[in-house]
Amino acid sequence: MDMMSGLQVSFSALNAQRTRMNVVASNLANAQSTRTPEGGPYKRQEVIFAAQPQRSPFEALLNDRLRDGVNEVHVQDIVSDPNGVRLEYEPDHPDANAQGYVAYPNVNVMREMVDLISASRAYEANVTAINSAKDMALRALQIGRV
Amino acid sequence: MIRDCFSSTLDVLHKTLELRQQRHTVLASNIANAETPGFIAKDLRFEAALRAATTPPAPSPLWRTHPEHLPVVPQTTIRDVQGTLVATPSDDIGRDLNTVSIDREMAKLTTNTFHYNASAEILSRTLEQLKRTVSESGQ
Repeated sequence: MDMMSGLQVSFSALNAQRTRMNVVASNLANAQSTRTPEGGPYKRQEVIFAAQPQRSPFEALLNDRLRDGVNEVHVQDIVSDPNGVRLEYEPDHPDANAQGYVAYPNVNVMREMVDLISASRAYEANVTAINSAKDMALRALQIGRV
Repeated sequence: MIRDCFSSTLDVLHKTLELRQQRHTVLASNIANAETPGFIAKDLRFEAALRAATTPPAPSPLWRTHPEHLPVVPQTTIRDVQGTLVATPSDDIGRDLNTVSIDREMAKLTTNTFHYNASAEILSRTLEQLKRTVSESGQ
């Protein structure tokens, strides 16, 4: 259990939050996409976070006691939102069906923005944790400087 | 003799830095998992154990008749103090069963860093005192 494992945990969170931001950006960018390679409109994507105990064989033996307390976070999966499409009446649209309705992705821009802000705040919180760890490490290095 | 004068202070400070660093890792893990479904916030408690190890034991009615006998009240030494991991779920549990309150964890993290820096500063000054004692006492 050294300073680096604390940093490692925070870095894993930065990574996970950045992935979440990318997914949100992709949802926002494709809010109006009616065609995809799989066919049909774009489907809203969502990330699933999972806690992962820190795994380093030597430290695991030494710090078995703390193992349950220290978890990195990683993106376990990116799944499609199963909710249906949003139908809008646009008879002139090339992708309109026989009744004149176009199937748009189930992306709610408001919701994506909330998610984006939430991800960016979580990112900041982890940056603060990293800065704290850095401060502590610097302070420890100054101890011997009498 | 130097060990007698300074060792207990140095031991306590050394242990404090070690435990605060471990606590930082635990708190960082809480913050990292602030949005992980089902994650339970944890904390490392060690203050009581450290206090118990630093206060002299209460006088016991029993006496040892030989220095090699086992001590009457076994007391943990400062070096053996370990933190205990406790679950500290917050009251507002969301629908994803995550129990991390980000405000509370950030406050804890800041306080912990502050205490770490304070201990490091005291350790620096203690070493400075020690140096002064060794180098300037003869003048």
